[in-house]
Amino acid sequence: MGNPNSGKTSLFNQLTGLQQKVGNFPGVTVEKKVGKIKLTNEINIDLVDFPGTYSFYPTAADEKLVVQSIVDIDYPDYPQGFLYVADSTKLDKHLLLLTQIRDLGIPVVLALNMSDLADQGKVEIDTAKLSEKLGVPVVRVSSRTGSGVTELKELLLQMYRGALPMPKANSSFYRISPEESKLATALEADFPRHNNYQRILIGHHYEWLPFLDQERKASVAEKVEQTKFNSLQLQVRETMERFDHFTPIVRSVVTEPGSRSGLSEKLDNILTNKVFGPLIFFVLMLFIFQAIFLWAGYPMDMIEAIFGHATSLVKNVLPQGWLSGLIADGLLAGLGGILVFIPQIAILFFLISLLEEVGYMARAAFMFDRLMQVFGLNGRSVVALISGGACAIPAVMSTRTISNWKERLITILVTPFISCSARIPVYTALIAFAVPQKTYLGGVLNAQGLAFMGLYLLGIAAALLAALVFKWILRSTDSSFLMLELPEYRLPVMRNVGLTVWEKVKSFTLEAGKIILIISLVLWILSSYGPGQKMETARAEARQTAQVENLDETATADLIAARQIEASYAGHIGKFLEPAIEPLGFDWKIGIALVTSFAAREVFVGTMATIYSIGSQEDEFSIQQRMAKEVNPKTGEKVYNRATSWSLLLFYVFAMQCMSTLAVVKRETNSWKWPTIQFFFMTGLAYLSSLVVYQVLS
Amino acid sequence: MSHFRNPQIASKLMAMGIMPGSSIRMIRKAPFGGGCYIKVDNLLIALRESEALSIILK
Repeated sequence: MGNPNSGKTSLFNQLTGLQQKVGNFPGVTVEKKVGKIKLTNEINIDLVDFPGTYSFYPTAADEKLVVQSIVDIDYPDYPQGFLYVADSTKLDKHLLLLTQIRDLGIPVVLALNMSDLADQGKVEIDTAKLSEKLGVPVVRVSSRTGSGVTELKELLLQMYRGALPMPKANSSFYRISPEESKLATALEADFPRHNNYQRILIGHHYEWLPFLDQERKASVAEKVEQTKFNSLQLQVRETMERFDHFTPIVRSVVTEPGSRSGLSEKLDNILTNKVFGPLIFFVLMLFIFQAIFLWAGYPMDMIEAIFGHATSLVKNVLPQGWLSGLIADGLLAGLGGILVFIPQIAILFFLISLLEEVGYMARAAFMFDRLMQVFGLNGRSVVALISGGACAIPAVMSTRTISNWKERLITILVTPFISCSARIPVYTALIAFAVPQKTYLGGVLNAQGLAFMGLYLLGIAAALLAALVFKWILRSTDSSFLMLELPEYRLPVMRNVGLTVWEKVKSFTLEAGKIILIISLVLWILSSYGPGQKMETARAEARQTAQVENLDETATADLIAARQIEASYAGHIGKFLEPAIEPLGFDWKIGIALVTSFAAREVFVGTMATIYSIGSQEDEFSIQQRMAKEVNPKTGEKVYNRATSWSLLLFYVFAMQCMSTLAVVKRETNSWKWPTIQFFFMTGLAYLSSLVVYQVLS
Repeated sequence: MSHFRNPQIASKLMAMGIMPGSSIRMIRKAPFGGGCYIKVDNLLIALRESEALSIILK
């Protein structure tokens, strides 16, 4: 545990490396990182990276989790020992939480982080004296260079073996007041296994503590009433007294020979400047946007080429039949459709975690707080909205740092409007049909690039407007805070950035990959088989037509493929939907893609690949070329004309086509109400705007 | 710094280490207004104007 910006996660990464598992704390979506540390050949311990917090008096959901896990003795993550991380250069601010942890009666080790900065002669700390005065073992570490980690592990081993002295409760950093003492005694019967400090904390927080049922809450409330326990007043008193006790200790052990460089302040003169600040922010965003397209191009082409080769290899090596079809058109088409995004996702998460790591995100939150408040959001929403450009799921989860429920809810509801990386392939596939390949100003501006940017801006505009509407509808009495620490700028630790990228790419490939793979397989089955004899009939009819019209071999095969898919189960689903989506300019094949891509937007492209490759004679892997050839049999016109393509593009900008996001919103808001509302207003808006655009353009 | 005007904000700011007796310097306002960039001892902190107004200086 430790304060925000203490380098806690960085030390966690240093200690556990790739031995990490990311999941959720039981019952909440607060992200939980658990890592294994090997202390000896036989002894491995689990280390949990708790969210950063300043004290046991939380307001935001992630801080509340910390309190929950230290007062609920039966909680699965109830700690057996603490590793407390404090920033050596901010020791005068970082020890409040440590003195609170001491009072829990659980052993604790203090790691003084960033000793590399301290070693540069900026701060000197007498660790032996600090350890003696605090009654806690102290070790200097650098999460950046890894120095001190061996000594830290040695201390953790001693803690594991029970060799560390237990912090003495009577050497407490604050004296329990009569009210608190009365309450602790009154709660003894209700909480016999807790210590007095834990009972007092329950008295402060019982209203929201999830492990207390209504009956126990009522019992605590009654005792709080009886003992005239004034939570806010006592909090302030406790905090004051703790600071009063440890500040002299810090003063006596820390010497600061040189003055600080103040580099962060100097950088902020420009980076948070009234004019340059926002300007630099937009340039950075533009750069991220460009990088995704420029850098991802080559690896994406490579992945497509590899899958193209693999597909033709399978078709050539395996005898023609259901197995070859299943592997080439179902499995490989679906898998290629997923893996091709990895470069874009990796680049996006790389750049975003880089901004986070150097300390820029907090500045963005500071600069845009006022603007965000206009839309009912919080400065911290900027972080979620930017992350939404990568993926709405981590973005929605990142809102847990917003303590005001209304601001948090609005951020959750509108974040999916921001074009995420899953929309990129859909946009890429369709934009070529919507906008001609033209350049202006001597090749500087590209018409398709501009259209791309337009789609992103449209998403941002939709997010802000929707936020305004929700601000107007929703009522809240919670007070809202900014109160944000601006960490010192520092060079990024590439291990941290690398681990984030690795973890996100891995979870995308495994989690999203699983869904997409299953859908591709189901889709392949649905489009390869049909009810009754319909498939056979369709094939025979197509053969006849081909003979009558005297078609060559390829044209015959394509005709058979087209007729068969129409007769398949998937074709029936698409046909069923067609009346509803015809006014938008969509045919039944697009209808199939709309249904399947509800699982995840990128499935759209995979579906197109599967639908158009089944039965097709060509080994060509490019979906765009296949889509370009698609002709409407009724009108004889190209299916992907300008009107349909724009209509489909707008549909994907607005529609809530992502099952996983809805699931996360359900968990975050703890009800089906909000994801349901979100689905209907987003998809409703998508339907209306597609309708208007198609009717105007066609 | 002398004291706080609002106990709720006080409890939060104190946990961050903003205490009576701290030295506070106003560095700049946010680009779109409404926010302040302040330095408390050696800590850089962003506050809303309303939050900053609850801090009473000597």
